Amino acid sequence: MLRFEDSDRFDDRQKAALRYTSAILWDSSIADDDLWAQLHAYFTEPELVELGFFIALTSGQQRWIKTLGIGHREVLGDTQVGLAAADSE
Amino acid sequence: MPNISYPPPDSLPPDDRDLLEHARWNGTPRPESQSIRSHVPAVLHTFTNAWRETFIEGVLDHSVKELCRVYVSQSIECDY
Repeated sequence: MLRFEDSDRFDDRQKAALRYTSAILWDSSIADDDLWAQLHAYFTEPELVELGFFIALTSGQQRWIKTLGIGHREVLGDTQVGLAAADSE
Repeated sequence: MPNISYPPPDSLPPDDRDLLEHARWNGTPRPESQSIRSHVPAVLHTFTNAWRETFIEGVLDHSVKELCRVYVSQSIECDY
């Protein structure tokens, strides 16, 4: 997934969304005129607002959680639902 | 143990405990992170509402948001 640009597993719409994610996460200059043209071709403006907000929310939360040192099954850990890697937030 | 404590679930108000029960049975968000948020009920509820309204529900198809969420996780090497 981290090499999505060279992958044939993702379609053009998905790649545009992942480029948008990269721009928010790492480098706002990725969001150039070409990317915005792609984004407007594949998504409505409300969708772009929601996706941008959600990426900001989940990336911030994940970065915060990494500092906390929490483990799996430490709270109400009697089910199997939260054990998948790269899961939850 | 985490760097911020987990309040005992039984010490929480019913609405907050309900959110932890949801995490217990659905896994997303995790009970551990929801427990830590419960130190400040406004944080717990604000995060949960934003998560539900923009990730679980919302105007954009969920699959795109899930794809981007996993990309974020892999990018920052987060298992959460």
